[in-house]
Amino acid sequence: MPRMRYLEARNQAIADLMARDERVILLGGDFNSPFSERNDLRQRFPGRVFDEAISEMGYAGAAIGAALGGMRPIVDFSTASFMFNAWEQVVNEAPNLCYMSAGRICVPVVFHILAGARGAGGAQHSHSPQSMLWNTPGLKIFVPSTPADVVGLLQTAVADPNPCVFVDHIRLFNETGEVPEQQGPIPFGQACIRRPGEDVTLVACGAMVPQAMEAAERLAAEGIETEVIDPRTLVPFDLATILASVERTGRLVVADETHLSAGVAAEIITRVVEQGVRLRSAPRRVATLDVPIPYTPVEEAYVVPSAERMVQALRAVVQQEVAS
Amino acid sequence: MGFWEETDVREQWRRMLAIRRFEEAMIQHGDAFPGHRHVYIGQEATAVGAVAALDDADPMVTTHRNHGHNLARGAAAGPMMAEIFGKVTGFARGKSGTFHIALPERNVVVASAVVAGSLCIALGLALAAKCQGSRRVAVAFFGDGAVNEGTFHETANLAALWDVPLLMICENNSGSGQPRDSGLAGPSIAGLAGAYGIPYQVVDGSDVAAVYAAVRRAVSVLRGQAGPWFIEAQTTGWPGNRGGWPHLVDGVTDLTPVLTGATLTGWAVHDPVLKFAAAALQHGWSAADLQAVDRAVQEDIAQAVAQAQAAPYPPAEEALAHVWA
Repeated sequence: MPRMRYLEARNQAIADLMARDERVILLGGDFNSPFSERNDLRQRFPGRVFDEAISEMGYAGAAIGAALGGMRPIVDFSTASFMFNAWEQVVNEAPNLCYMSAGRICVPVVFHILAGARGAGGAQHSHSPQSMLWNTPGLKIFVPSTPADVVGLLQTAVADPNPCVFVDHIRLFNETGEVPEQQGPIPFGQACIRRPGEDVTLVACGAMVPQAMEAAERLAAEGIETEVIDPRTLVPFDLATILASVERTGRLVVADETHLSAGVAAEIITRVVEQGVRLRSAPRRVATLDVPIPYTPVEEAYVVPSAERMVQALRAVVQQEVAS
Repeated sequence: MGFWEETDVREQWRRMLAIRRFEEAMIQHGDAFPGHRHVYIGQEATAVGAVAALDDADPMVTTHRNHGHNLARGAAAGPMMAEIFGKVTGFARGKSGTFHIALPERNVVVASAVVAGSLCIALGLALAAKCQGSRRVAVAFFGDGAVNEGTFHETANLAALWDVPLLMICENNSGSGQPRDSGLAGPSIAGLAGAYGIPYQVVDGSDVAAVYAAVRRAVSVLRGQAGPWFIEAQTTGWPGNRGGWPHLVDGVTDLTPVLTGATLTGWAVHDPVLKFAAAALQHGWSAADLQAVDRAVQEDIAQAVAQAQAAPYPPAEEALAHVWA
């Protein structure tokens, strides 16, 4: 099975989708962000890549309209913070059209964002909007963390008749992994246990997964076995896999790059706790602190989640026992 | 040759009245449903004239002021009225109400209640038409307020840049004797299109034949896949339009004065329904013919109201349905 870089797998998946289905068009950044490698999509698929102007709202709405007109558009906003320029279309049009028509129309559009702190991006280039988007019914959200996943989940997204948000991350680009020659679609709503363990459950998605695996390795040296679970999709969300894990371990840490307040970690913990599963200690979240993201590296490292902060949280939930 | 020679005039008259009598009935039964409502009274000739010049395959988008566009495309009054009343027999089972009436089977694809919200969606419909090599023209109906939104400018720029068959019809109903758009810094709305190199035309939106001619001319160009195009359809705003709570200031429309050749006064001079009737008489239609159509329309709408009143609401738990396709 070939081993590929995430970025290579992602770009090949996009090219394959465009080659197989002439309805697939790209609007916006065509995956040529300053942090990507140049691709030849524009040359290979003339008349199907539209990225001349910086018009996020226009591209988002045009993608919705093109989807209604029978195409399968992918909108690349590039830096996730720029999606806010298109907010009306992303949260007030795309997810509402099926509902407001009682199912008469559907919007098969994929919105792509490079979320999170990329390193020295500052406050206006470092957002992780997926928690805001999870708070908007009608959007599916997928967060790949491996090369195989990005290939499989992207296929599912393009085939889905509903609007889907592809939460991508620059810090995954150089991650490597095996990708089956014929990697097919990976269904939404199926979490993946990246690492089994008996002592504590650690939930992480996207670029947090490599950090979570590192944290788990460090704790293993201390005799603590961490089960790392990657939800892969926020909407639909696989609660059952996480719940079964916490029922075994009795301890939960959730790490996510969205902010503490109203973030993904808060939501996942609530979903687990409200099921009444017996917990041996209070759950902990490792999230970006509630501040805009600072530019200077030492401060940025302080506010965003890291393997070190996950290790501290994991140790804490293992060491504390709830008084019964 | 033009509107009076090329179209089924009886059907066009029916559509004018279908819109007018529907809106009047909705206002009269305004206590039957909650929320704001936006009527198309005073603008009927724009929708009717435009639709007459389009093919059925041309997709349209509209706004919160959508009843006219749907009815002009032949939508049945029953499911629309039921939808406004919030009943389960509504076209969207009560999920939409008046704000979002868009009938895909009539090729009215989206009605966005966010000012300018449907503009870039129409751009996308035009883009799809071009990608597919089809001869469809995408048509966006929107109001004068929309040109102050950034979305309008992004749509215009991209439509011109991509050279897609998008026909933008701006319905300026802000009236005469006052600045047509007090939110506009520049000299004209239609001129905004010119800034993007888009051909534009101002037309009397209350003159169905003028609207028809303007749209015919536009689609003849756009159907060769050259585009976009901008039409500003000006009408004198109906005095009963008071924001979200329209009011029948002069009662329901009385055709008698125009059919008997009386002199019209006040807003009636600008009323597109009365102007249509006057022009129809000049083209050989009889008052009796015109009134017969009106009676049939009023019966149809009375039935739509009765059915809407009698229909049940959906079960509350149905709120959970239709999130996903």
